Amino acid sequence: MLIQEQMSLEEKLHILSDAAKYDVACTSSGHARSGNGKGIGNCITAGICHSFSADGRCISLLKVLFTNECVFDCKYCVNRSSNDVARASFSPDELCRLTIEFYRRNYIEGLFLSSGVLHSPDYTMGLLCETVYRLRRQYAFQGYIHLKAIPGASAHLVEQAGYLADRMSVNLEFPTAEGLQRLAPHKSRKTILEPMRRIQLKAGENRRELAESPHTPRFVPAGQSTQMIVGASGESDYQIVTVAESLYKKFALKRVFYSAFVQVNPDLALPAAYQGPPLLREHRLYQADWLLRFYGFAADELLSPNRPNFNVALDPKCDWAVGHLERFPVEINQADYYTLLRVPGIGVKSAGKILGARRYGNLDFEDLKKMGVVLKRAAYFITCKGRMMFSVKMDEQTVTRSILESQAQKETVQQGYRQMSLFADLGLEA
Amino acid sequence: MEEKSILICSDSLEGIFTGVYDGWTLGNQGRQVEICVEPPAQSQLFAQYQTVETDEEKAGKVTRTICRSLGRQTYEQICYAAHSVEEDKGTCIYYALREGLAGGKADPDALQNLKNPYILRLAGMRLAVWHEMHRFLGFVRFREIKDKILLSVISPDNPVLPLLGPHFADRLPGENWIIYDEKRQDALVHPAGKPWHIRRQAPLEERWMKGELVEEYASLWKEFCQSVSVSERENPRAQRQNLPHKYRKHMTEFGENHY
Repeated sequence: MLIQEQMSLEEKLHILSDAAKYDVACTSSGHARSGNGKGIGNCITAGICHSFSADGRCISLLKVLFTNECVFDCKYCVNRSSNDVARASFSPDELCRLTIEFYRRNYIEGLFLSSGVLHSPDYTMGLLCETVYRLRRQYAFQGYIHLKAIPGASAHLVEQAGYLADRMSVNLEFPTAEGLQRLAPHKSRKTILEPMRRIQLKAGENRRELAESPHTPRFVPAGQSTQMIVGASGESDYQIVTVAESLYKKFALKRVFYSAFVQVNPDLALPAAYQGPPLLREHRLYQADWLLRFYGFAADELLSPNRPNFNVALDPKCDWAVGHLERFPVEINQADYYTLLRVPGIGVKSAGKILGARRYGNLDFEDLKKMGVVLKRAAYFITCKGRMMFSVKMDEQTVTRSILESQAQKETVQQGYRQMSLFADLGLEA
Repeated sequence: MEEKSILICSDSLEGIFTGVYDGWTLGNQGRQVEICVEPPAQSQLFAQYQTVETDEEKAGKVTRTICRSLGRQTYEQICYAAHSVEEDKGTCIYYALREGLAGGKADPDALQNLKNPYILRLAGMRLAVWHEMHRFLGFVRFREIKDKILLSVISPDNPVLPLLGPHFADRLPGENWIIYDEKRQDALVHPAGKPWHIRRQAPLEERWMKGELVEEYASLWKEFCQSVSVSERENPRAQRQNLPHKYRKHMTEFGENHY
């Protein structure tokens, strides 16, 4: 390790953004805040993507670590203490100035601040709080701030941070406690779930206070998120989806993010990743995540202990539908919203359009096509005025084959998958 | 054959609404109406052309009728569509309003009637404009030209400058900034601490367009965009889908120059 006394800002930015790139939650959504006419910045509910990097992912926030020095030795992490990599730290002022100068040029929507653990979780959390406090008070910044809670940090620091940030997150890392123990020996379920629970309780309390007096300072107004690494600890899709479901239910999370495992350290405890990160798997998990949050699906409907992994060839909704042909076809001009949502090829947007338009007259296949329904998939599951589009034998094999044929030209397993963004795909807040 | 009236109005919300107002009277007389923004692309035989002077009072009446009878949401949707680059936007707005107020009964949900071809087309225009506006909320890039003045140049398909004004004024209230629509040579100007306005047909000084200054923060930003990408996940197709090439010309991180 080379220790430099005077490192330029450019060098620091290089090291500390490079070290933060595996964190996936670069969204700026969930909260609207107008400017106050004096300082700088505002937020809009849908969030804003400012650029897209060469990996096709959205750049919305200045995503950096405060420092990549770390006393933890997590096996999957490039910044683990046993790695010999160049280390750097920002000063709070440097980071504030960088954020403001980027922001006024409209490069970014705000700051995403995470950190390696310098000295101790509390010491690090204190530094993060100080930085964000300065940014809000001294620099009058009202843009978006996403702050990581450091596992093991004291409750009072996490609370302090929550009043400064728009969103906070604690990374769950792995769906099973066993995986976490094996691959992140300095973290534990307890040190991760405790701050998560603390943020949830405090946010609930804050909502009640706000209802009584609207001028109460807001606590993580854009809610809380987390992320899990996919494909590093031998977990199944079923395990991941069930954990995600319970996080949404029990911890009231806004988002769970999935991060395809990228091999950065050769380590015997980790799987060898000859084929690169499992992007298709990550893609299927995001699709399933959408089904849980907006389509009224339960994890148990999608997978089971006997069928623990997603179909490679079909998306989770299509896969579910061909397994439940007894529920189809549904009549477009009569089915209710949630029934329509279960039809492959009909999403949140088109279901809404169908509901709005059919009050003015019966809809036909031609109308559906104009509204953006993907008939290639939907055709096997719907009737319009009692008629189906083609006469196909309704059994699982025939339908599956027809769908696969129709999507064969388009989707191949080798292609890259873009990270879904609710804004782009559905026009809703994330 | 029923005679058609083609109303030519100025390309602004007020202009189109004045056209709608005048067209309504003609429509009530049983005429077929088209509303074009000037200049009309091609002239048709068997049609009567009529130029409409923008009249704020008439436009105001149309605005109030829409807001009161069809609701704020309908009004907003029509505003987006009115900023479309499509020539038949005025006609679509006119017939959508006719449908929404048909038989003297106002239907606030009228724009959901996508079986109506004018409304379907209007919905498409609204979406295209909204989408482009939203993209520019993120893709606008400012650079400092002098005395801390921020300048951004864009080439939008639709004339979206007026839609960008409120957002950036709220976001950067204390800065002097200009967003310049290169295609139409219009400038959205915001003097620090004051309301924004639009200056039509205001060519920029050549030296500003070039941006001779090397900006430290521009270099840092380029550095950041490079290093935040995960090389194992490289995916130019997704990048192109999300950020088409036409936007990149004016974006710092894709330019050769450091400004």
